[in-house]
Amino acid sequence: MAYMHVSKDIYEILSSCAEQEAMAWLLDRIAKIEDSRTTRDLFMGYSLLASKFSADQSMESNPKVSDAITLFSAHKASLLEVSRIYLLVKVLEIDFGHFSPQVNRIIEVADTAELETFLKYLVLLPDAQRFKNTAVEALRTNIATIFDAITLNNLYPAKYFNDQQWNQMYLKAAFMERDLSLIQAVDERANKDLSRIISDYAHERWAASRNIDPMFWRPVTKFIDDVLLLDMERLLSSDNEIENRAGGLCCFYSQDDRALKLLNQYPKLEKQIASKEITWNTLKK
Amino acid sequence: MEDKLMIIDPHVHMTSRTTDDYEVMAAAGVVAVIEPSFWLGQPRTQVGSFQDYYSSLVGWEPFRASQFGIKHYCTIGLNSKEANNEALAEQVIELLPLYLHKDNVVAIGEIGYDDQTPAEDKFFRMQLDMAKELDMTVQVHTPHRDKKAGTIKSMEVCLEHGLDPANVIIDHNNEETVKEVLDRGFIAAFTIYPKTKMGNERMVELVRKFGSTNIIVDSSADWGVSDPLAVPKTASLMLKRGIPKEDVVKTCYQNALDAFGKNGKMKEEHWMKPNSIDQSQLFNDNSVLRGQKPRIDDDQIT
Ligand SMILES: [Zn+2]
Repeated sequence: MAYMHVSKDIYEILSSCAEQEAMAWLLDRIAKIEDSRTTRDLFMGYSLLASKFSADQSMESNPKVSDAITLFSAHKASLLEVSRIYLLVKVLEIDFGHFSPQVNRIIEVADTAELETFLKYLVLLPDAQRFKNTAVEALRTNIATIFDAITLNNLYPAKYFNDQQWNQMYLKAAFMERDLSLIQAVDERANKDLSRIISDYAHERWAASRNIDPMFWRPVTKFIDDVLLLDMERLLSSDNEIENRAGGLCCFYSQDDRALKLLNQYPKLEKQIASKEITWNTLKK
Repeated sequence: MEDKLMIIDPHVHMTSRTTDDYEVMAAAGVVAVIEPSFWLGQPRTQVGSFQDYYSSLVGWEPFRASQFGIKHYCTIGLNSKEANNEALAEQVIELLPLYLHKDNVVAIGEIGYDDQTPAEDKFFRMQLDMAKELDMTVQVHTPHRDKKAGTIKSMEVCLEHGLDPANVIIDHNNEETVKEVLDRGFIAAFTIYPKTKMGNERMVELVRKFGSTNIIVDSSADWGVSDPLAVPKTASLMLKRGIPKEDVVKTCYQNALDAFGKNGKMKEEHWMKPNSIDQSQLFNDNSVLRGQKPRIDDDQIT
């Protein structure tokens, strides 16, 4: 597991920013929950967090880096968000079997802001794959902030989604015009089925004279076939420089002879890619 | 220059009302409503029914109201009628804390007595303890039968559980109960019922007699015969009958805001500086507009 001492890490970052009084209350409350094991103590404790920890104050960046802390600072998490995740992680560490139905209940009745929090940090929960339903369900939302919470800057989908779920997410992100560069582990989760979907979707858009985010093409890199080779030709000969770059990047990293040969016709671009002057990270710069 | 009063209806069950009601309420000056959680006419048999109901009070209904320029708040609680199904009530009580901190929840309510049974008493007290622990305002529903005794008992139990009477709204008062309520420092709300009980002519006389301090007017409009315009209509009748405007503003707006604004969730700026009405915004893919062109104000209401 990537996150071994999650509650300890979260405790450290939380206590460095929150007021002592609130932290004392929290420790006390957790002891009470651990002792009584009642739903009431957990739910009341959860509810009270909103009055003890600020939703407006962001975590200060902390030099002691752990995975959990990096994640919180990447999202500019508020004290309230961190305290909510801490409480859930902590009770699940205490007794997963006993507390997971209650944690599920808390997630089930979440409002938009709470759900955003849970989705962003789902990966920190012990046995995180057990909360996959929540993550997959979030793909169906039409509320952009919820969709972004699971899709962007989040390692959960890459770690736990199957190909079908991952592809569904990727396609919908493109469809909703999210910033695709913020999706994690795109190269690792690329698959043959997704590259076919990408090509089909592109043809639909082209037929309707509509543009596609050039970043969208990245997952096809390792799956260039006859159809995609033609798509690459189209990208490389496009008037849009960003599309040229996207096509070039796909071809360069494809390890496909025909694609590499195609790229040879654009020596300047090939050189820029080989020298890492152009990468997926600098595609639009 | 027209000087329209702003109105708050602090007790109205909008879930049972149509969008026509929202439209006329907004036109009559209603800027904010509070929807107490209550029973739905038919008893629920599953805790999931309560959960979905509460979720709609903090999710869908505020969105629906916002499409008509009205700010929606709610109170969350287990009502007295359904407290009598004890096995179910236990599960509902367990669920409540998960709603009490949410953004539009301004109090625990409406709770109290209906037939004044032991089960009602038990769950009323449990919720008062919760209010105490969470430092929340309480909205009390008083019984329709044996009203005076039930009202006095409600107040005594609140005091017994250590609540500040200034933080408890006793609802559905009449001429018989109002004095006791005010004398003990509680806030007295009055429901204006069309045809029966508390009509708005009587309300005018009550304000004339008892003044406007700690007195609130509401409609309690729901799925029964009721009038969602009861508060604006009463305000206008009061003015016609010579009640000073200052008292009308207090009883039909300011007192409700002061009483329910204590936990900081309900703020005048929500309707004084609205983020303009954007009906094209979707919630779970469901706009309340069916084929009409969305009305989008790009300016504030002046
Ligand atoms: Zn009611």
